[in-house]
Amino acid sequence: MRQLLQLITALTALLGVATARAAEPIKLGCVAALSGAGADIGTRLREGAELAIAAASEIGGRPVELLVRDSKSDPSVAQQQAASLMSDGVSGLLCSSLSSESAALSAAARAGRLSVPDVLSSAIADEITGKNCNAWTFRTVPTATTIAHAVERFVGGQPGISAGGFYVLGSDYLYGRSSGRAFKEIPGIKIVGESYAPIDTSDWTPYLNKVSQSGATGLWLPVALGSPYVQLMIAANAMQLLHHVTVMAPTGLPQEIIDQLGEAAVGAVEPASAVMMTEPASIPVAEAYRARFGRAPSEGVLQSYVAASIMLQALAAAKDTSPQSVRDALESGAFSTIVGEVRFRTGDQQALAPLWSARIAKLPAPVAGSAFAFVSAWKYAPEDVMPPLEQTGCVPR
Amino acid sequence: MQEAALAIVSGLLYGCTLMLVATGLTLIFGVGRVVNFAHGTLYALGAFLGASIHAVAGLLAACLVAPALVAAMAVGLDVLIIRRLRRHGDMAVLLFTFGLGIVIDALITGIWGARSYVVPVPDALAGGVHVFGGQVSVYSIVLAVCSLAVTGLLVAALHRTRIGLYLRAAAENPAMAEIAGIDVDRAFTAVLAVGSAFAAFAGVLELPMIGASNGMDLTVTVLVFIIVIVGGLGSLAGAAIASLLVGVILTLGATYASSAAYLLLFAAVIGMLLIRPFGLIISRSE
Repeated sequence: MRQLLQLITALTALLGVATARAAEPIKLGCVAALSGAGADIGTRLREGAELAIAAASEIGGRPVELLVRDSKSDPSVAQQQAASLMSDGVSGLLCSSLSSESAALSAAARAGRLSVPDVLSSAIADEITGKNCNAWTFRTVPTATTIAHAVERFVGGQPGISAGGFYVLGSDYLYGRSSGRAFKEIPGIKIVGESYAPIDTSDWTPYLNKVSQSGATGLWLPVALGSPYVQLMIAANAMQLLHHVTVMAPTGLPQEIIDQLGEAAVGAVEPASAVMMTEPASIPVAEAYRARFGRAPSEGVLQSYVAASIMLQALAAAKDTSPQSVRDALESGAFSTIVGEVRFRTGDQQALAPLWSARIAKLPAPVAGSAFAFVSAWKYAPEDVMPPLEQTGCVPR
Repeated sequence: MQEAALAIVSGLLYGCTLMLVATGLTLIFGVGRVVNFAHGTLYALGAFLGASIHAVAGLLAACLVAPALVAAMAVGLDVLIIRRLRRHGDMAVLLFTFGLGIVIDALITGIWGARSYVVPVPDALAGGVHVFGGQVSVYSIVLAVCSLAVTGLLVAALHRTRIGLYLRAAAENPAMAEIAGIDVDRAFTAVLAVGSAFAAFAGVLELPMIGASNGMDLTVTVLVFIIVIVGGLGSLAGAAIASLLVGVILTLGATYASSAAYLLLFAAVIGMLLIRPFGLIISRSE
């Protein structure tokens, strides 16, 4: 009898340990710019990841926990935070915000200092999956060169935009320069001027006057997302520049700016968008976001939602939650998302997913409370606009 | 030539905006001897408060209420904390304002979230004026006029009123002022309130030009400290001239050197300080 009791006790204890283990949360890391100049975009990326994780609730009976760290819009801090999250046992990373931060993380991964899968959903600089390509970095948004290819197709069909030529006005850091360089290399694009402003510029008047004086009819705008971008668009609207110049925004425009600009924003172009709030599959997510956060989501939110959905599916498919298993699942999987099925290209691990060229328009019915938003002008298959692997600069290790 | 003229006009307008923030900081240092590292965040706080007030009561109400709220906060902080810290030396106050800036920044993110708030230009002030082949917005001209008027009023109040006389006396020789019956502590509190209100007022006035967004204080903080140092610590006239100079140098830099605009500014500041180490105008209380 005593032996039977001991056996029952031991089994109960074992069951308890197993149950506790099963309920232990799966940890995902979120290194986002939550302060500094990139706080706007970083917060959106965090919110998108939170929304996706809340919708999934659990994987294999285990809850998913998002460990959020502030990169302070600083690449070196982003590296430290990612390393710290790796020590905390995260299975994967999300939310990386600025190109400079993402490039720092991908460089660290390529150098072997970071060995945890990172699904990027915001940064577009070529280098990240180009010369820095590595086994751990995956990206769901198009590169600067892919965007340039989409521009080439878009402008080819809209000669009015390029009649007076383009002015390139960017932020003077990795993203701005990378995007500006890729844009200038597009065949048939006439450049009538080019300026790169310090990343924390708040007075855009002299730059906008140069745009105005150049006679440009198109404005290529690789400006850092966050307060400088907001300030630039407000100033451009106040100077009535938007009436005669078509803004081409490589990474879209924050939805609150579109809401505020209203009619003045109509016609602005995003040449290669990775996700559209106004597409049928995205609308329920946009409404869920609005229910939770009280406003319409910017593109960054939905991009991060897609990246987090992919990460969660990879976690579910992986044989365990170790970074290596999750990475393998990301590399070999096909993921069902609001933008359709997404796979990652072998080599540079760029997402093979549809892209849209979009224009801001007045919506027939508001989406998530917004009357104006980007709507699809054209939809591209990835192979239509992505550069072949051998042209990306990626030499897989 | 036209391009340079346009850049100078734009720079002067931008300088007038900076003047409002720099005047507040100069006043606080000149009279209270407080190096207020939180000044930039008070500017941002004014902008965020202004955006919220604007949403319910309009821009005019925002211009009045937001600076008043920030001034009231400054009074509370001075009475409860800064006044006591001042007895432990300037370094204690300096460190406190540094920490205060971080706390206010976190409060802004906590209350308003990391998102941007946009306020439209009032219809009556919309549009632009064509000058030298370019354009400056009507609102930026109005903003510059407001800034000059308010700064002018402050200077007049300091030099032509009894209260101004008391404040200047407290700044030049606090001990003697005490003996003469001036409540020096109260004078410093008043100065901190007015200086903080100036920063907040600048934040509200700039709302239709740049909105309210996280990190908006970073550039302004650096620029106004440059202005205060170049102008001569504690000199209102120096700060006003330096504001205009900084605005013009930055705008000329943006026009002709693009991303090297700040490089040009810093080179000019270093050159100026080599020639005049104490700034453009030495404050009498120095």
